[in-house]
This record gives sequence, C-alpha cells and structure tokens, in this order.
Amino acid sequence: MMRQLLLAATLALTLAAAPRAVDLGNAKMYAQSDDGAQLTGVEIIVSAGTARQTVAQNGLAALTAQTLLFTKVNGTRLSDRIAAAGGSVDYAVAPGTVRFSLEVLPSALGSVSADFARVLAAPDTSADNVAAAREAVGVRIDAEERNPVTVGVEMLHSAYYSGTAGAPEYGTRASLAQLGPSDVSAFLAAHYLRGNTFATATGLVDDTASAAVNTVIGALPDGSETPPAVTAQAFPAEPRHLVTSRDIGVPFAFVGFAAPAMSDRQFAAMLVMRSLLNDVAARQSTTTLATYQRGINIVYAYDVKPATFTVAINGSQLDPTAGLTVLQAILKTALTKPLAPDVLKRFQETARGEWALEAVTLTDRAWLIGAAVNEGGDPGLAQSVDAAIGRVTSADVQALAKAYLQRYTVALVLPRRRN
Amino acid sequence: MIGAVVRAALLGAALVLSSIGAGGDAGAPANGSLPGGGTYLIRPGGGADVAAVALWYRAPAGGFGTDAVPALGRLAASAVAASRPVTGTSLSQFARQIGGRLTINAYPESIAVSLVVPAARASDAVQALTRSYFAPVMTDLGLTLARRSVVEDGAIRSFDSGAVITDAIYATLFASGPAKIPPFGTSSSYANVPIDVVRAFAERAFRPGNALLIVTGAVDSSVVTAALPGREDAPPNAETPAPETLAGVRGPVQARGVEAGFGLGWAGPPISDEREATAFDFIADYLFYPDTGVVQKAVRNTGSSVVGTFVTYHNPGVFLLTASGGDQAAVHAAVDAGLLAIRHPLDAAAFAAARHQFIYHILSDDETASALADTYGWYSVEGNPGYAPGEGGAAGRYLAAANALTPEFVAATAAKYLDRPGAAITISPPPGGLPR
Repeated sequence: MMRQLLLAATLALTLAAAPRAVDLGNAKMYAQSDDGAQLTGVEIIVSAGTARQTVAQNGLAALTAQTLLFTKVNGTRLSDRIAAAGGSVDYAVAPGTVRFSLEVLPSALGSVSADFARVLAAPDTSADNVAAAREAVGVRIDAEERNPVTVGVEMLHSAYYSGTAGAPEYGTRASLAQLGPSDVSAFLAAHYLRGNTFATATGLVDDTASAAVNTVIGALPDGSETPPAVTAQAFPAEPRHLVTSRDIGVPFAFVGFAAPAMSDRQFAAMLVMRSLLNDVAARQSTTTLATYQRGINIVYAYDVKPATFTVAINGSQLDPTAGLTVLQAILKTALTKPLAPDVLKRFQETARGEWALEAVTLTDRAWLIGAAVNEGGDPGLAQSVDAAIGRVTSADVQALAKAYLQRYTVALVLPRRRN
Repeated sequence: MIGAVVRAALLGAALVLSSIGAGGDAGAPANGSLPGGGTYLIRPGGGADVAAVALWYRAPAGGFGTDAVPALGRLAASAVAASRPVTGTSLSQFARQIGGRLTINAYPESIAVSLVVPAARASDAVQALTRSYFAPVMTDLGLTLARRSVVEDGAIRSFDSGAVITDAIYATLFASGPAKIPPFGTSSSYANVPIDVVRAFAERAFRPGNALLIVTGAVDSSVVTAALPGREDAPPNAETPAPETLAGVRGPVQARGVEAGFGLGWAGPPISDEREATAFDFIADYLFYPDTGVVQKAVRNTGSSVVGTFVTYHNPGVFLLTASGGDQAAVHAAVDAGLLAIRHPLDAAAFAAARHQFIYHILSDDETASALADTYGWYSVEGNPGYAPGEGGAAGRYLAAANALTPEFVAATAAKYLDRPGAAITISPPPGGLPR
C-alpha cells in the first residue's frame, strides 16, 4: 500500500522504460511501468471499431461500448462504480478498434476489474439500457457537430476510407435511432472476443495490475476473428470538393491527404512536414497559441493504417482562400526543391519537441503503445521516433511530399445561412 | 487545491534552503537557493520524457502601487517573453523552435511563466527562462505583441460567462487587496500604459530574489546549475503577501453579461489551516467536480455550465461557484440543495466513495509534469509548499489531511464558512438579447 501511494516527487528519477509484453494467459498486455506513478492507466483494445459495422449499423460500435459502461452492477452503472472506487473510464471508437480507457487508484484495481468483468460477462442489452446509451452517444454526436474541425475531418475520412471504416465515430442520431438491443447483442457476440482483444498499461503496473487486466479480458468469450480490412480509396487526379454547413460563425477549409502511419518508414519525415506546416502559417505570439488561435492546425491520424493528414484552415484567423494558396505554394516548393540544411535542422528540432509532448498522460501513453501494436509495430515504437526524426534528410521530405502530398481532397464547412 | 477556475486559466518563502549542487543524488528531490537569490524546487518524476520548468513570482496582477492597472502583470510577463535581447532569441521564439509550450498565467497574487519541453532540453529551458526574467529586456515590439495577446485573451474571456461572474465575486467579496483587481481587465485599462511603467513592474516583480524556480518531470537536480544569476543590483528579498481585506456584508449584486447566470462566493480557510482547506477541497470536489459532482449530475440536462471550486489562497481562501446559461431555476435549486446537504454529515458509504473520488481526482489532475509544477508553484507562492498535493507521498500533509477527513468535520467546516455572509452575483443578458 505504501508503495502504491508513494508520490512521484519522493522517488528517485526513473524514466519510463520501454514497454514490455506480458503474456497474461487470457491475452497479451503491453506495459510501460513508471515506478513513481500513483495511478494505473489501462487500455482494453477490442477489434470492434467502425469497420466491423455494416452500412446500416452506423454508430453501433459506439452504442455497444456505451451500453457496457451503462450496465449496472449491484444497481449502479459501471462508469459510476468505477468513479466511486476512485477512477474513471471512457471509450473511443476508431476504424479498427474500440478502446476502453481506465485510470484508477491502484488500490481500486481489484474491485474495478471485477465489476468490468461482470459487465462483459453479462452486459445489459435491455431496451431501457440501450435507449439510455443511445441518448448518451447522441450527446457526444451533438458535441462533435458543433465542432467544425471534427465535422471537416469526418467528411474527409468518409471520402478516404472504403466502406464503414470511414463512418463517423459515433454515427448519427438518425442512424442510432435504427439500432436496438438485438443489434447490440449481436455486435457483442460477434466481436467482443478474447482473441480480438489486447491491453496496454502505463503508470503503476505491477502484478496486481496484470491480474486485473487478465480478469477483465478473461470475462470475454473465447474466439477471434481476422482483423477487419481498413483500406483507402484512391484519390482522383483532380481534387474532390466536399461542402457542408453548420451553425458556426466563420468558414473552415480542410485539405485531406493520405499519410504514413506510425509504423511506416516515412512517419518521421511526415512529423517534420507537420512542424513545417504548423509554423509557416503561424503568426507571432507571446505564448504558445491555443488551437482556436491558430490559422492552420494539423490533424494527423497516424494511429490508423492507412493514416490521414488533414490541414485545417481556421477562418477566424486566416482567410481560407489565402490559406489554401499558402498551402499549395508550400507543397509545390516541397515537391520541387529540397529543404535547405538549416531549415531541415530547425524543423527536425521542432518536430522532436512536439513528439515528446505528444502523449504525456497515462491514457495517452497507453493509447500510443496500443496504436503501435495495432499497426503490427513494436510496442516501444514511440520511443524510437525521436531518433528517426534526427535521421530524416531533405531527400526524405521531398520523397514524402511526392508520395503523399500531391493528391488530396478539399472539404469546406460553411456557416449556415439564416433567413 | 489550486481550483478548477485557476487551473482552467492555465493548464516559497518557507522552503528549506541549501546551496546549489548540495541537493543530493541525481533524481532526488531538491530545494535550494538560486545564485542570484530566490529559491528552487526540483521534483523529478517518471513517466513521459518531458520536463516542466516554471518561474513563479509573488506579485499582484494589477501592480504594486495603489493605482492598480488590471492585467499589468500579464502584460509585463508577456512583453518580456516576446522581447528579443540584443543577442539570441526571445523566450517565445525559443519555445516555438524547440517544439515546447510556453504559457503565462497571472493570478490575483502571483504570476507564473511555464515551459514544457522535451526532457533533454530542460537545462536549456532553465537557462532561457532565467535569462529572460532575471534581467528582463523589454522592447517596443515585445510590448506591442504583449498588448495584442492580452487584448485577445481579454476579449475571449469577456465571452466566458463563468469568468465574468468570477471577477464579480472577487470584486464584491473583497474591499481591497490584490484579489479585488481582475487579472485580465479590459483593453482600455492597459492600452496606454507606458513602457516605463510596464518595465518598472517587470524589474521589481521578476527580480531573482522574488523568484521561485520549479522543475518537474524527467530531470535530475543538476538541472538547476543552468540557472543564470541575473542582475546584481536587484533587491535580494522576496515580496511578502499583500493583505486582503474582506468587504463584509453586501447585498446581491446585479450585472450584465452575455447570458443569464449567477455566482456565489465565500471567504474560506487560509492555506495555513490545512485541515479546513482540505475539507473545502473535498466539498468542491464532491459538489462540483465535472461529471461526478452531485450538483453537476443534477444539472446535467439543464443546459447550464456550472463551475465550483475552492481556491487555496494565503489568507483567506475563496470558495466560489458560477452558473451560466440554461435552466437557471433548476440550477439554483440544485446548488441550494447541494450547499444545504453538505452542511450535514454524509452517511459513511457515500463519504467513503466521495473520498476515493476526491483522492483520485487530486492524483489524476497532477499526473503530468506541467500540472505538478503548477501545483508546487501555487502552494509555494501562497506560502505553504509543504502542503502541496504531491509533496511527501502518502505521509505527505495533503494526502494525510484528505485521509483524515470525517463526515462530521466536513459538515462542520462547511457550516462554519458558508453560514457567513458571502458574495451573490446575478447576471442578466441585455434586454432583447445580444445582437447576432
């Protein structure tokens, strides 16, 4: 107990070691233990993302995950039980997977894992519970709809990925209305299988944490499936233009490219390119600008293979037409002219710093390990990226531009007209 | 706790002194004196390969004189960050170039300048921060950029109903002292402040003797050797806490805002009363922590935004809540019910669950190097670094106080302070609503 509660501040310096694979018997776990940590972060990753849905099942992956969190144990929802024990739980849906993120006091791991296991073994797919889950997912959809960046990125993903892999993370309210208890039950039975699942853990990861993860995954039925196919559609020679409108004050423009995933050879060069694009359109400022203060933001979804790279132009800071012109000029230069050595060096430095700050919370670090594993990469891949950035050459950046940045799709999110 | 309000804006006189380098083994926590005066606090930790490096100053956000200029502290700190010295780069440029994050926060009684950087650049960050602030350079361009930044921050904040209500609570609760002066202000309050005034503030507030250097993350104590000494002619002492005077009983205050809302505020225990201050942190967490607070749950479907927090100031602390938008009647009812219920002891099971949540939130909120640096900086500058959550582990004073709370003590502490007169603010939108 004493060890579990020791604060980082009181311990000798212990840098995060490389993640190690732990064979739990029921499943694999990839753990990165920090001796100074006071909390345990766990991701349970199930091959049950949007790519497992049919077209008619838009939103089912999210609805299923939410249904689990709302299943009651001894009269209290799982999410509330975990909170009362001293922790939190959430989920995120990706094309290939759904991830359950747990963060708990180490002393609560036993009760939390037992509760989670009970829910996985006997989920409540009653009409009432699914209806409550549907409403909760609907609230998330509403929030996404109010954010022009998520709207734009979802438009581009929908155009980029084949089939349901590009479906919106939570579906739509209309599509959710068509889904009921039988859909959730069937989705659970088909995809929530032990062989479809693995875990990552960060923070205080000891034998208790390993046992807890084993308990959770062990509650799933035996079985496995072939990973879902997540494939991209080819870009046409002429860029496609997608347009929609929302209740927003200013227009946003998005340019979507294919991109190397985290485990791809050209990933480090793309991080250098991200730093360059982030910088060239940024205005002078006293402190680091928040996202909403930036004219250009990059959304690099490298945790999905094939990956996407979206340049978002914020109309409140930069005229979208001007932003698109600047972007085209930069890309043209990148294609035709190698970066000067001093420019390359500068943006390598920036990229290394940005990468170091990419994932600092337990949850984010666990996600990064999971992303590498899910792509078939080394669980410690994230820790090798700094050195890979240092090895990027001007020729690498130019080759990257030629491979990925010549074809793209444009999406516009415009303010809705009012009468 | 620093409090949700303060943390959202983001997100030690009592230190035991020692000499640089005498702090012990690499990786061990270290406290000590900086070569030019001031103190340092190094708290190595595992986890992500990053470091947070921060300079904290006790300095009223509105200035040292009797004629306060709202946002002067923020303006001065921003101008120094953006000013390029004769040689080298500005702090802003340094942060941008290395892919780090630079933030500046001004609170009623303190100013914080924080860098989060890759751990390998921690020494460079210490050097860059101390170079910029221990002998501050202020250029016209730097001040221009700072004015632009402060104007932008203020404009954004003016649309934050909770922030507007918070400022009104402080202005009502206090008769005088730094807490009465809003740390943001309006552009008219500082647009024409001469550079000499800003520079004079910077030279006094940011002198090495008034500095507290905090470094957390994947570092060791040798990082402090990168600190530069600063000006030799600067007074070596630190500023003492400025007195805060409560206003006493006042009637409800009406104000205009972008949407309907209300706020309540009370003077709470000082940071030196660790038992009571921890009880108020617990109360704020139990009632108002996002998603899990009982009031938050009650107002979930009202369309209202509710924030409640206890801010651990030197003396007194401040317990406040703001509610804006949505179904105001429903929110009033939920808040009243919550504030009434907390004056009575919770049953044992509910209390145990609430304390688990509270301790989890404390640890989770401070799990990153930058959050931990903020916490150490805040508790140090408010005069009780040994009470900072994160200090001392399970045997540390904060967690010990949290574990020692009882339902009866929490209820008694709530009644003791909340039965006293406080500030009550009501915000109304303009007649006919805002122009679209």
